[in-house]
Amino acid sequence: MKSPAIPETMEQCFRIPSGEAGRDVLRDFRQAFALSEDGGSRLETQYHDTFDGRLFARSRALRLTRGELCLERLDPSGEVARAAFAGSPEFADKLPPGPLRDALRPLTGNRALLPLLSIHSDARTWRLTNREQKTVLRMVLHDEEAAAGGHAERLGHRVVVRQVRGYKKAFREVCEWWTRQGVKPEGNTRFHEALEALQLDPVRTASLSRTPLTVSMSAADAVRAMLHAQYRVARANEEGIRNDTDAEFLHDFRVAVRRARSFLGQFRDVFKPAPAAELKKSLSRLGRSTNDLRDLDVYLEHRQEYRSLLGEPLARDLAPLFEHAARARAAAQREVTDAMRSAAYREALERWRTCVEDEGGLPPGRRGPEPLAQVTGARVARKCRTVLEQGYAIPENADPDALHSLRIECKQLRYLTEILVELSPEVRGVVPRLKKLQDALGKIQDLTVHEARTRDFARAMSERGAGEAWPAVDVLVSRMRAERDRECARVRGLFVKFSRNLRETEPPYALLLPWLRPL
Amino acid sequence: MAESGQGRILALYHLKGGVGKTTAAVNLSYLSAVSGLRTLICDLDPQSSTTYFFRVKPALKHARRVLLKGGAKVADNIKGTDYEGLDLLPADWSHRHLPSLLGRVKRSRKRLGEILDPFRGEYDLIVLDSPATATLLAECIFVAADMLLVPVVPSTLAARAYANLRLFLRRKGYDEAKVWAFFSMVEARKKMHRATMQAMREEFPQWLPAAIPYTADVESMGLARAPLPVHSPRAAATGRFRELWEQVAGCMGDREPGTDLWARSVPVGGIRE
Repeated sequence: MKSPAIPETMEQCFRIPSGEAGRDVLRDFRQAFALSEDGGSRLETQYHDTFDGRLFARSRALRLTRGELCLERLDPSGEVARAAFAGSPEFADKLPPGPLRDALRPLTGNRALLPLLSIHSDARTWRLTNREQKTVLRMVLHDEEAAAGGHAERLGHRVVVRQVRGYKKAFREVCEWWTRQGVKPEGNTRFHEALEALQLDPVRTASLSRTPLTVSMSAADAVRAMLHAQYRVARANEEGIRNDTDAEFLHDFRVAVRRARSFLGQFRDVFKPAPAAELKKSLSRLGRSTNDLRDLDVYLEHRQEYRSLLGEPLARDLAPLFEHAARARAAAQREVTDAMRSAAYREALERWRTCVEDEGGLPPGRRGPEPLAQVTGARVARKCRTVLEQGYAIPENADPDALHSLRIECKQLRYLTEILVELSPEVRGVVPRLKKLQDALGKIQDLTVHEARTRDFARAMSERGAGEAWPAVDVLVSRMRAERDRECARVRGLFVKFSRNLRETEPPYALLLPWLRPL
Repeated sequence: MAESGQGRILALYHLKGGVGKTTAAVNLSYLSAVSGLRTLICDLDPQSSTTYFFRVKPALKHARRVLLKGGAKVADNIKGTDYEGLDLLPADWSHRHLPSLLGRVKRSRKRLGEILDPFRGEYDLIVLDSPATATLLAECIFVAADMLLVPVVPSTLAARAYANLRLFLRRKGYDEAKVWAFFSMVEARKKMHRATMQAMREEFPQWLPAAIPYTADVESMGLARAPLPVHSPRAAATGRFRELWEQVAGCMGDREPGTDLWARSVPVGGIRE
C-alpha cells in the first residue's frame, strides 16, 4: 500500500510593511475577504540552546511555545520533532523519552539547554469560512518583539496564512492576493531576525576560540592572538561557572587556561622568558584552583556508568556514596565561586589581559619574528618524537602513572596539531585519530583518580558513622581497577595503530611528513 | 496496543444504534485535539452524522472506494475541521456498501488496520465513529482498534445488546482487554436506569466511571453543529465528557491523567505557532 502523502507546507508568512503602508494593506485585505475575527492572544516563544550554540551551529533551534517543545530545522525551515513539555528544558537527557529526546541528545550531548532569546507576540486570529460556515483558512497577524537579557527589540508585523487541510483553493487565493499587493512570501525567518535585532551570536563562545592564522604570520603575533582568543573564552565562561548551570562552563574555562599555558610552554622562545613565565605561573594557579570541582563533576557524570559496573541490587547501596560526592561537589563549587571573587583571581585575569591586549605586554623573544609555520612545524616534530618515544616504551602491563605522562604529551601534541590545521586544513584528519588515543588515556586517568576518590569518600563516610555503603564500595573499587587494567592493556594496541598511521604515507598524515623529517 | 510514540486508534462502537456513539466520538476527538494531540476522526457511518457535525461536505463521490484503496487517496480526502489539530475523514451514503466491498478483498479483517496504520505517524489519536453493525466492518474495527469504547444506554434492550457483543467477542477470540464501556444517555432520576447500571457494572468488567447524562444540551449539538465544549462549555454533560476523555486517555496511554501522553514525531512541514 502506498504511504499517505505528507502534507505539503500548509502555511505562508508575509512581512507587513511598517507604518501607513502596512495599515493600508491590512485594511484592503479585510475588505477583500469576509473574515471573522477569533480574538487576540499574547504568545511567548522561548528559544533555547547550549551556551556554545551547538544547535544553532547545526542549523537547529529549540522552541518552547504554549507547553510544546519543538526542535526546528532552520535552513530550509521545518520541524524535526516535538513533544508536549511543561516547564523549562534543562538537559536533553531529562526530556521525556521519545523522538524529540532522541533527536536532541546527539546534538547537545550533556550540555545544559539555556534560554537564548524569547519572542513575544500579540497575535490576532481571523478565519475565512465557506457557505456552510465551515472554516477554510486561518490567518494570524503577529506584532512581535524579541528579548534577551533584559534587552528588547521590535520585530514588526507579520501575517501567517495557514491552510485548513483539504481547502487549497482558499489558501491559494489569499496568498495570491498578498503577492499582488507586492508583499512577498518569506520563509519563517523570525528566529534569525530576532538574533539580528538583538545582535546575538549563539555560537559566540565557540567562535571566540577560533583564531584566523596565516602561514606567514610571525610566531609572536600568532601565539599572542591565540592567547587572546583563549582569554576571551575564559572570560565568556565565568558567569556560567558562578551560576553553576552547566558543568561544561568550567570545563571550557579550564581548557582555555590549559591551552594558553600549553602555548606558552611550547612556544617558549617566542616571547621574552620573564613575562611569559610569570603568565604561565598565574595560569597554573588558575587551573589548579578549579581541579577539585572538575574532578567531582567528572566523578558525578560517571555515576550511572559506575552503577552499571555493579548492577542491581548492589548498585542501590551506592546511593549514600554519590550523595556524599554531591555534597563535596557543592562545597567545591562554593570554593571556586569564592576564589573567583578573590584579589588573586582578578590579578591573574588582569595579567592575562595585559599580556594579550597591551602593547609590549608580552614582548617577542628570540624566535618571535620567525614565521608561525616554521616554529609550529619544529614543535610538532619534537612533540611527535616525545610521544613516539614514550609510547614505544609502554610495557605490556603499563603503569597508569607512565600513561598519565603520555597523556599530557598527547594533549600538547593535539593543541599543536590544531594550529597546524588552521594553517593547512588538509591535516584535519590527524586530530580525531589522536583524540581516540587521548580518550583511552583519559579513561585510565579518570578511573585512577575516581578509585582514590571513592576510597576517600567511603573513609570519610565511615568516620561519620555512615559505613553502610562499604561492601558496595569495595566491589566498585575492584571493578574500577579491573576496568582500568583492561584499558591499560588496550592502550598499547591503540598506540601502535596511531604511530603506524603517523609514519605511513597514508593521507592526511603524509602532510605532516615535512615536519616529521627530523625524526 | 500500538508502540509508544505511535498514534492510537480509539473506536466508538456498539451494534445497537442511537446510543450516543457519534456524540461521544465528536466530543472526545475535540477534547483530544484541545489537549494537544493531533487527532483524526474517521466517519465510517453512511449516515455521515459526524461529517455533518463538522460542516464538511465530502469532496469525492464513492468515498468507500477511496477508503479501501488507502494511502494517498485517503490522505487527499482528509479535511481540516474548525478546530486546530482535529481533522476528519468524511463519510457519505456510499459507505453503506463498505461491508460487502470488504468481503471481496484479501485479509479483509486486517484491511482497515492496514489502511489506518500509515496515519499513526501523523496523528496521535485516530477516532473511529462506527455504524451500528455486526458485519465484517465491525470485525475490521475490532482488529484495528487499540481501544474499543462502547456507549451503553442503561436500558434492558441495550444491556442485552451489550451482553451479546461481549459474548460475540469472546467466542471469536478478540482481545477483550481493549473493550471498555461507559453509560450514555443516563437519566439518573429513573430508578430503572440506576438499577440497570448497578447490575451491569457487577456483571461486566472494565467500566469507565464517567456517565453521560441525557440532556437537552447533548440533543442541541445537531443544531449547533459543534462539539459540546464549544457550544455549551458549562453544561453538565460537557463536564462528564471531559471526565470521560481523561479516563479514556488514561486507559490508552497507561498513564496518570495530566502527564505527557504521546511523544511524537512530526513530518516535514510548516511551522505551527
